[in-house]
Amino acid sequence: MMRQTGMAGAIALWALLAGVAAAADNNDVIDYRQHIMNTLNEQAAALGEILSGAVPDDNVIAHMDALAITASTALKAFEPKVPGGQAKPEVWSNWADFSKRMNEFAQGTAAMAKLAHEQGKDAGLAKVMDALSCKKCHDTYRQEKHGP
Amino acid sequence: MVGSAATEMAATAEQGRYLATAGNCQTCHTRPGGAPFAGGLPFETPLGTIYSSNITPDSSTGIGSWSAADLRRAMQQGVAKDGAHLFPAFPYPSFTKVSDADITAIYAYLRTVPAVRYRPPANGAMYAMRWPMALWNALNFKRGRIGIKLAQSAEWNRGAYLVEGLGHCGACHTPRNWMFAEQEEKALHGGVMRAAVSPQQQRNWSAVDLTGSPRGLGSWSVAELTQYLQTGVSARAGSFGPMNEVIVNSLRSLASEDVHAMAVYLKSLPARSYSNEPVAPALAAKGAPIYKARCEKCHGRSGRGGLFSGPPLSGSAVVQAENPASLLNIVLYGPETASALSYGEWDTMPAYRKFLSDEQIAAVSNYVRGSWGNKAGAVSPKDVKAQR
Repeated sequence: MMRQTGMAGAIALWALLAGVAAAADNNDVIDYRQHIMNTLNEQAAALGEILSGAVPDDNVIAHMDALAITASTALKAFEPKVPGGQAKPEVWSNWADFSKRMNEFAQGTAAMAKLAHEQGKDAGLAKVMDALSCKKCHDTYRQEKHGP
Repeated sequence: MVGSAATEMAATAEQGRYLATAGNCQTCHTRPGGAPFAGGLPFETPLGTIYSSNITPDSSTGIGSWSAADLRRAMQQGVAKDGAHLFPAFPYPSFTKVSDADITAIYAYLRTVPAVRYRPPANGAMYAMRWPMALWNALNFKRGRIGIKLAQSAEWNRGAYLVEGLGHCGACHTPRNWMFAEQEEKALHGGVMRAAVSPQQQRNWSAVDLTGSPRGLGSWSVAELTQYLQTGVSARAGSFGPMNEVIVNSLRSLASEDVHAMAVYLKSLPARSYSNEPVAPALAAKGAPIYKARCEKCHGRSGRGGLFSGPPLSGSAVVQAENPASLLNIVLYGPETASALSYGEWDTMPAYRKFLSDEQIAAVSNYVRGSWGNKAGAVSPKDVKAQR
């Protein structure tokens, strides 16, 4: 009896969410990919604090894992062709190049995390500036913020 | 074994090309869109505009009729072939320290540059008279080659020779007196100058204190300074504004040993003293909310910046410069970076002139000038307005 109610409740919840999802608009697409990019920024900045010796390095590998996982979600977030936010139209007009670079980014961060797991923090850190060369893509595909 | 005359001349011209790069001759002696070394670049001064001269080997509009001795006289004494005094916008007070042999080599190089028939515009009326320069020189100009300091290393002496001579760093980084002469006793204490931000517009800038003061290069290592001079970027700072063309057109092409020598020399300079009152904590605090909202994300709560965001402000020579012009330029217009240089993973800083008032920019400038151990003096909204 309880199980049936629980099941019904879950189905009802999903139905509700699906209804909400159907009403979602392009702003959510932009927000979603912006959240992913912001996460990459924040985790890279945290790693930067460690690299500059300002804070202890105990969680280096966790940050690398976070970056690799987040990077792996990034390309899909740009699949909907919704211009706006900080995405330049070139993202979609140059999709072959954009997706290639995004894949390389995901692979690079994954490789860095894997190396750190297998051979220790320092081995991973040696790869940091290669894996996190954000500007290379941003110069082409990100609209510079004009606001403060 | 002595090579043929032609080979020797070619070698001397090649050496001269290197020295001309060290002296950055082409940058001042070329106008926007103009032929290299043909002159015509305007220098705005309080007394009017003067234009750089044509130093290509053209016989009528350039220095084609000059001998090596004529060029030595111009560079070491500030006197042209026809006896006319040169204005110290041409930094002969620095070039007087350059050796005869080096100038001869530069001469050989300039002979190989394509001759261009171009007469630069006439200087402003106040500059039509050259004779007052004789008096100016008597009061301000000390001729003479740089002496070797035996107590210092060969590298230090090489650095001194380059910084004080061809590098003419003091032309921007040394304060000038009311006669617009570099104040020897305050060499490299930081200066002010006016430089073009576009072919039509010039702006006031300040050049940092290069001495070992905490408000100058005190926190820099020789390695960081060498890297900055060669690439325009170090963990401490990135090049912007008028310094860009020094690095792009001159320093980055010099031999590593020479740039290292310049860094060694600069890092040996004793710290200058400052007499200003540091920004009062109460005044600095007014800028805290603005800093928190606009600056902290990239420059950090402790002003230390970040690898993936921006340069440190704590201990920054630009932030703490006696004259705040360049700091205010950055806040107003964003740093004018060089496209030829790579600034690593730092974000592009926005320009705040449309988003912040003079009072707000003064407030946040005071905050950064007086926080985290920074001890610069206060700036006023009027200072900000002057830079708009």
